[in-house]
Formats: sequence, structure tokens, C-alpha cells
Amino acid sequence: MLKHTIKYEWLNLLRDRWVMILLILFLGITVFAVRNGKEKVEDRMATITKEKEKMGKLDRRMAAEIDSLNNNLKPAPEPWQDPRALDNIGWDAPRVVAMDAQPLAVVSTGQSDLFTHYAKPKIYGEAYTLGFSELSNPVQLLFGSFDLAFVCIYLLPLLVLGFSYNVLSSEKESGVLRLTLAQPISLYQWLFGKLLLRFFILTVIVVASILFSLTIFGIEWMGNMGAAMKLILLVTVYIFFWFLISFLINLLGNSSGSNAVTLIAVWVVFVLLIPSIISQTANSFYPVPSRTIMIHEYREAKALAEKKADEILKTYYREHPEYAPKDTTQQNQYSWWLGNFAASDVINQSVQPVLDDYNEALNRQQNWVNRLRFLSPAILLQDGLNDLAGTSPTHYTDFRNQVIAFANTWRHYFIPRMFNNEKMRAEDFGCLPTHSYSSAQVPSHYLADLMGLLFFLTLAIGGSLWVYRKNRFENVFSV
Amino acid sequence: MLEAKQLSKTYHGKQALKPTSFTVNKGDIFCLLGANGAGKTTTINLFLNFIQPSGGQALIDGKDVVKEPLETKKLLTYIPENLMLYPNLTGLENLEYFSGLANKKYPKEEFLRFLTEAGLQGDAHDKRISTYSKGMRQKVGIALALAKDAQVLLLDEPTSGLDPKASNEFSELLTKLSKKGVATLMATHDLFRAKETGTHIGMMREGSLVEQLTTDQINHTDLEKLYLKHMN
Repeated sequence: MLKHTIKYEWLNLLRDRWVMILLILFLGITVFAVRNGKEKVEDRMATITKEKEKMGKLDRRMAAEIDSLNNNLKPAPEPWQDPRALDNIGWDAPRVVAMDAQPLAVVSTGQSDLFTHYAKPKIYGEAYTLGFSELSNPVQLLFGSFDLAFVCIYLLPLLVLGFSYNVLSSEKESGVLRLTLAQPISLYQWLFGKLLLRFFILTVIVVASILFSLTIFGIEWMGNMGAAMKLILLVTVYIFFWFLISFLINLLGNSSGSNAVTLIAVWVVFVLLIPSIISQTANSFYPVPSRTIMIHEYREAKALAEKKADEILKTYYREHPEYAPKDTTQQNQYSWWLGNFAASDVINQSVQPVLDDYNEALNRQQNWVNRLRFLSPAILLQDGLNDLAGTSPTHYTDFRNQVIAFANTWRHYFIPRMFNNEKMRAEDFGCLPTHSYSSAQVPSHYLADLMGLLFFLTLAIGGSLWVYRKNRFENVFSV
Repeated sequence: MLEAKQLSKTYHGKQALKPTSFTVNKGDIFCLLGANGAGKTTTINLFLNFIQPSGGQALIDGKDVVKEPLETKKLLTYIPENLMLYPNLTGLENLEYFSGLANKKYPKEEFLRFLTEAGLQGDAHDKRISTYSKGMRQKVGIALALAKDAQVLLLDEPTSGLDPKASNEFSELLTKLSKKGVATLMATHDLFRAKETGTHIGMMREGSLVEQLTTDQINHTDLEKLYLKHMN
């Protein structure tokens, strides 16, 4: 029965030109979306490459300069320009800590238009930690760019609904349904067969369009089959969900017009209303403390500590006897820095509660959004796609932590050497600590998002069965 | 073959069909006459299980249509006043499709033979339904009855709007089917055709079957007089 229904439905659709229109429409949209994504990722990678090249060039220039200075080929420069001074290296030649794009980064812009993808932490100063704390609500970012995620989350359901809203009602209105239901068939199965075929057609179109667009823009999806399959699975489940919603509404037996209105209302609720309510409640229940106040408190603490730098340094030497000058007759050329290093520890300690409060509030807000994402399939899909693209809030938080950790490594490379009053040598450039980005430790949301979507599928199937049993279809014939 | 037992239907407190009983045997053509809203279509819809009876039973071949809807629908073919088919499919494809829904599969030649037997000219078989006239669509309905090997025909004003020639052809097909033993229940306004084609006549008024008779008991003039008497 199912096969029979599908066979003739296929014949019917083929002659309707709907399928061709859909194919062309979706292909065009997808190509455009992937092109946009590609452009963003290329910009991002170009900036990172440029910074890294600049760094390499500077390293080579400085190494060459050290060589010529050591061989007295050049007059000694001013102290603040001397590449042999470790503080100048630590301050002027920072390493680039970059967040490389994931293979499927083109899929979803996510938070990538909000955060920077590289940082150059220096031996002193915490400004970089502050720079990452910007949080505009992630849900608002849903309304961002025209990328593949936008196409799938917003436009795809509309295509599904356009392709299916009147499957039953049009037959009722044209009168064919009376002849159909005079046959020994189950309306539920028959309608399901029709929608199943449409689901397959649309899914094939969508998957083909996505893979085609990725291919023409040179995105290595075949080498990342796992991620590509995950992407396809997620989108397919989302499409199926919308078909089931349409199935359920069709089963109510109302007119085409009323189906269309009802389905658009469902779309508005899941895709627009719930996300914006979550965003609003996140701001009302978990307001983020003022960043201005935080910066102000931070600067006050810093000013206070700088005033007491000498005293702090003494205490610091008591706590770190290993750094105490061995040869007290010789003046350490980095003495100004040493005071600052010692002071920065004190500053950090005193502003820690302020930073903690701020981060805590951000976390609470993030957790709220994370938990409530299970209220809408649209948010689940967005979250899953960000996860695959490596542009989720979690990825950026993780990158921020990587930057902070590397800043520490960078400082601790210099601090002992500066306390020892050492100098930079040309060969040291090869041994400077470097950072390489990895997202392996970022906890993945993918499985939870997929499960959430499957839960919505189950709900829709259950709903359609309930509607079918309850509704005796008298209104199907109340023409 | 077809039996209504105290069958009734109430819509929102209004009795569309008061408890009604009648029987249509094999080979009978039972014509339901009556004004619009007399309950003819309601009766047919009840046999199709499109609506639930408020009381009584509709039986096809002894089976209750509510309890065994799939079994009873295997036995019947339904032709409404305006038989609608899929406009993008040909006559042949529509026939194949609807027969398939009833689980009837034949080779293509057999389907073509049904269409020819139903009176559809050969050059129309492979044309899309969108080019068909109403009479041609009704013939596809008859072909479906042949393909389904239907025991029961439920017809709801099938000849209204057909030209006299098409209407005559349709009646001839009904007679042919009736000779094969098909039981037919037909709602109609056409007194002439009812007398010519029908074997039994039932007259309905405001949801009640007010008169039942066989067509050989009465001539055309008396039938019209009797009809008008009941309607006024």
C-alpha cells in the first residue's frame, strides 16, 4: 500500500514541476549561504596567517640584530629597543595564540562575528582577559548572518511547510479525497506515505545542495566524513520534524488556508518566539554585571598596588626566595619589571572576586540558555551546527582559557630569566613557547542536541497518533 | 447485499436521517428520490463510513460498515455527483492507482479493457484527466467498479449535469452491472432515469423514507404525481 501510494504520488509530483522549482530554489540559496560562510572563514584565517607571518618576520629581524650587536657590527640601540633585553622580547614580540577554523566552520557563523580569533598575550597586563568577556546574548546571534545554519534553521522549515501544508486539504477541496477514502485504506498510512515521499525528495535536494555547495567552495568534507555525516543527520532529523508537524496539522482535517496559518504560527513559536523569550529571560533572571564597573574596580586595585610596588617586591622575594638576587652588587636591569610582576600577583588576588562574580554571572546565563535550548528544535539545531562548526560559546570560552593559560606560560618563560638578569640570544627564538590550537577538549553538545531533536520527533508522532484517534474525520467530509 | 437497519444520523441536534430501514439485494438498483436536504447523501455517506451513525446499522454483505470499514470498502465502488481524479495523471494511471489502493492489480491490457468496457474511447486512455469531461470521469469510476469487481455501487446523483446521451450511456452501464449481480444504491433527481433504470424506488422527505416501491408497479406519470404529492 505504502509503496503504491508513493509510486503514484511521485508521478503526480513529477508532473507538477514543484520538485524542479524546489531544487533550483534551494540549491541557489545554499550556494549563496556557503559562499558567505566561506568568505568569513577566509577572512578569519587570513588575519591569523598575516599575524603569524608578521611574528616570524619580527623574530628573524630581531635574531639577526642580536647577532650583529653581539659581533659589534652595530652601535648599541636605546635600551627600550635592544632585542637582547628579555622584557623587549616579552613585550614587543608576543606569540600569536590563534583559534584555527574547524573544517566545517563555514556551516555556521555562530559567535565567530563576536569574538576575536587570535590574541597576543604579553608578559604583563591582564587586558586580554577582559577583552574576551564580552557577551551579547548568543540567542540574539541567531538573527545574524546568512549562512548555511540560517538557511537550515529558518528557511528550510518554510520550504517543508510550503511543500506539505495542503497534502490532505487540497485533495479534500478538489474532491479526490472522497474517492480515495471510499477505498479500503487507512487514512493515516496513506497520508504518511505521501508525506514520507515528500520528505525523501526534500532531504535528497537539501543534502545534495549542501554537499554540492561545500564541494564547489573547496571545503574538505570528504576528508571529514564524520563531521559531514553528523551535519546531514542533524539537518535530516530537523526536516523530518517539520514534516511530522505538517502531518499532524493535516490530520486535523481543516482547510488549506487554515493549515497554512496554523503551521506558520507553529514556525513563529519555535523559530522566533521561544528563542527570543529565552534570550529575554536570560537577561532578566541572570543579568550580567556592568563591565564598566568591573574595569573600574580592576584599575583601582592596580593603581593601589603600583603605589606600593617596592613594598610588594620585598614581600614577593620573601615568598619566592628562588628569585632573590644572588649578586646584590649588580643592579638587575629588569628591576622595574620585577616590581610589576610582583604587583600583578597582588592585583590579581584583589580583583579576583570581581572577575569571579562577572564570570559566574556569564556562566549562569550561559547555563540557562543551554538548558532551555531543549524547548525549541530551532535552538537545538543552531547549537548542534555551532558545535560542528566550532563556533559555539563553549568553543570561545575554551579558547579564552587557552589564551590565559598561554599568557601564563609566556610570562613564566621570562620571569625566572629576568630575575636572573639574563639576556636574549639569537638561538633562543627557536625555543620560545608556542601555542597550537586544539578543540578536542571542548565538551560536545552534539549528542544532546540530536537527542533533543529526536525527542521532538517522538512528540510529533505521538501527537499525530492522538489527533488521528480523537478526530473521527467527520470534518474531512463536512464540505 | 445492502441493508439499513433503523439507521439514523443527527447533526447538532437536527435529525438529518430519521431511523430508516431498507434492503438492496443483488442485481437491484435502488433509486433514492427526494428534494435537496432530504437525507439521500447522508444515507450514502453512512454506508461509506464517512460519517458515524447516531443510531442503527448500515450493513454491506452482512458486515457493519463502522466495525469493518476496510472489509466493506473492498466490496463497494462510490461515484459522487462530480467524480474527481488526479488531473496530472492519465485515465489509465488513475484507474491503476485507485484499484491498487483496493489491492487489485492487473496487467495494463486488463485495465485498458475495463476502461473500454466502461465506454471510454480508446484515444482518451492515455490523456490526462485535466482534459476529460465530467462524463468521461464518471466512466473511469465505472471502470474502477469493474476493476474492483465491486458487489455494491453507491451513486450520489451521478447523472446530474450529464447531457442526455452521456446520461443514457451511464444508465446502460448500470443495467449491465446490475445483470452481473451488483447491488446499486443511487441518489438521483432524475425521475425518468429512476423509472427506466431502477428496479426499486425510495422517496425521502426531511430525513424519512416516506415511500418504497418497485418500478414495475408504476408508470412515468404516476411516479411524478406520487413524487410531487410527497414533496408538497
